[in-house]
Amino acid sequence: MSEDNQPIISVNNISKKYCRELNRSLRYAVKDIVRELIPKTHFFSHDKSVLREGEFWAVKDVSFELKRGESLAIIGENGAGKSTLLKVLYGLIKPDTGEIRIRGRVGAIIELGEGFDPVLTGRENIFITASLLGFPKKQIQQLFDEVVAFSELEEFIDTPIQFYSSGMKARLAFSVASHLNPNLLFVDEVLAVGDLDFQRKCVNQMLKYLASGGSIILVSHIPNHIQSVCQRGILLENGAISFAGNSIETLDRYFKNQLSKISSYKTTSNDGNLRETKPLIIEEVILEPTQGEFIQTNEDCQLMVKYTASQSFEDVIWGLSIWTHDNLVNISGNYDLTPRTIEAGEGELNCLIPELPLSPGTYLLRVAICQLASLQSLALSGWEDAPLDLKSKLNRIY
Amino acid sequence: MNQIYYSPRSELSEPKHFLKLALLDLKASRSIAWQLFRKNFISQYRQSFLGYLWIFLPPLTTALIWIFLYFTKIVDLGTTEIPYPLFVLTGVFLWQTFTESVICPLQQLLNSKHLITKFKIPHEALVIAGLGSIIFNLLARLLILFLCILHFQIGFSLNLLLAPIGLAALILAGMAIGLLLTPLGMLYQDILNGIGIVLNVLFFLTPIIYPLPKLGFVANIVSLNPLTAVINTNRNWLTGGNLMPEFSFYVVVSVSIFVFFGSWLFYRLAKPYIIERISS
Repeated sequence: MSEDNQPIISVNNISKKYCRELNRSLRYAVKDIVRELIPKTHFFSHDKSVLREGEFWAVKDVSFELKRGESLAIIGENGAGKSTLLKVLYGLIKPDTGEIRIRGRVGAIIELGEGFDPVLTGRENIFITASLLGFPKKQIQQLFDEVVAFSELEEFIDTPIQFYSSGMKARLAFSVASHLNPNLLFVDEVLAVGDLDFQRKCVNQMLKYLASGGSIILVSHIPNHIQSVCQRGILLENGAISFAGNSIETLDRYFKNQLSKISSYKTTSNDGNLRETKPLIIEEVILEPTQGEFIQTNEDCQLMVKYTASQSFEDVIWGLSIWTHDNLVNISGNYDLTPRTIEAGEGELNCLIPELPLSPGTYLLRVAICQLASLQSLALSGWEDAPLDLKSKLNRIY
Repeated sequence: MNQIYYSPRSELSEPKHFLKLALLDLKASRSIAWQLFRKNFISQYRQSFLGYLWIFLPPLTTALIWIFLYFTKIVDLGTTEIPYPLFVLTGVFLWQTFTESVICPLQQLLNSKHLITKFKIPHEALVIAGLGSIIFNLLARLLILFLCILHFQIGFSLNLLLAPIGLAALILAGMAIGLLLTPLGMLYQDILNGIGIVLNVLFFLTPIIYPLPKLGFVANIVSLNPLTAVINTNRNWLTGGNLMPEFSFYVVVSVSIFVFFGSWLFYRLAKPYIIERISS
């Protein structure tokens, strides 16, 4: 096997248990530490794969591999074990079962600006953060101008960090960490701060890093970023992988799970709370060819949007937009500006796309239903959840 | 290519690899520690009006209080071989260095909780950066001490050449105790509080502000205190007293070296478990 084909990280049945009670957890820590001292005695050893009183699995039997240039998103609700998994992978804490092999140098963007000292200037902090991350001063000196230019903070670089806004801090921290080019980069929920322009820049920087052969493991709640950066995804539920696939499938699964939770909530409680906040829900978006089996370039296709409304709405408009698969370019936005009325109950909206003018490939499709007067959205599909994949083919199967 | 392997097994099951990693971390610590030391140093004094004066103010105040008590005869502290102000100044300065050394590892690591639970930095770097501050403070205090020696005209002896060894032993003894308590201290706050109380008691059981009593109950306790030898030896070497240290000085140094390295390696074993329990 050549160097390039070997996985940069292989993770085998990793589990990690945690204890929710502070005092008990500290007692366990002392016991665990003492146990480390006696590696080989059998009668004293405790099977780490068994839970003790008060413990639960924060991460359970997680396995995956990642090759050079690949990127993986870890998706899941708060408390699903994402950050714990990342800490085990990064080597900050020990797994209770399984093993991890990493070939190469590891970097992490875990919490932006954590290493910063508020009294020191941006310039001083760049050097300190980089050295904390394990990179020699020489390397930083070479990259210094590039880091500063990327962060767009030239004017403020000799100002103490305490006068930076949180967005500026995040920009500086991301610039440092992302320019050091490790072989494998862990990124944990860091892009939520910073304006959209900078977020886009960060995404591009990550794509550049991937193209140059780096690998990324990303934890994020922003679907756009996950779709743009990651090819693959794993969905964590209660610490275990409940789904693994490409990033869009994984996101889709994640949002479906959340929706199913909502619908079960609807049936159990009748107080209408949910209906008040979300009176209109897009249940399904279906795109089908008017003829044949596949959606084809230059052929007609039909879009159907199924919705449920808890009340009627007047003066409503709706529209769809098509995005490139990397989620960076909006190719087309179409709104039907004729006001219409939506009655309470289930219904559908239809639209014919004649002679689909897209070259073959995969695209993303989003739908919105809005109020005409205020242009406030009433229901969205593909904005907060995963958009629909639009696969256009030529007259051949591939 | 750099290979990393993590598993639940104890790191002691491969002792060679364990020691190799410890040395690698120590090597990596040098440049990081320097950066951290500079950072602490700059940020400590940048936001202050009196700035570097703060290095001298606390020990000087302590010394002045005892000099006042002595000359006003509020307390009877016996007679000293060297002028009392000099005696108490050396004592207080040495004690300050000792307490700083005891607290250093735990304090440095606790202060950087947010760093060590998020970044994979060698923890040794934090402790070494702390050591840097201890040495710097010590040098600043020695400067005051030397000015006083000039003032009291007791002269400098050749014993002074041994002072670096004595001071190293003092810091080593303090750090050994500190490191030994660090793993538990990271988990339980009781340790740091306890250290404070014990040090307060020890202050009065060590010949810092009064010379070693010749007879009686206190004399027995003070002479049993292992720190007595270290403090006395240092004072002698700094102010031209006896050249030869007591036998117990050698014992304390040997035990300290052993405890220091043992505690360091033990901390490394405990590290992942500590991070696991203290991370938010």
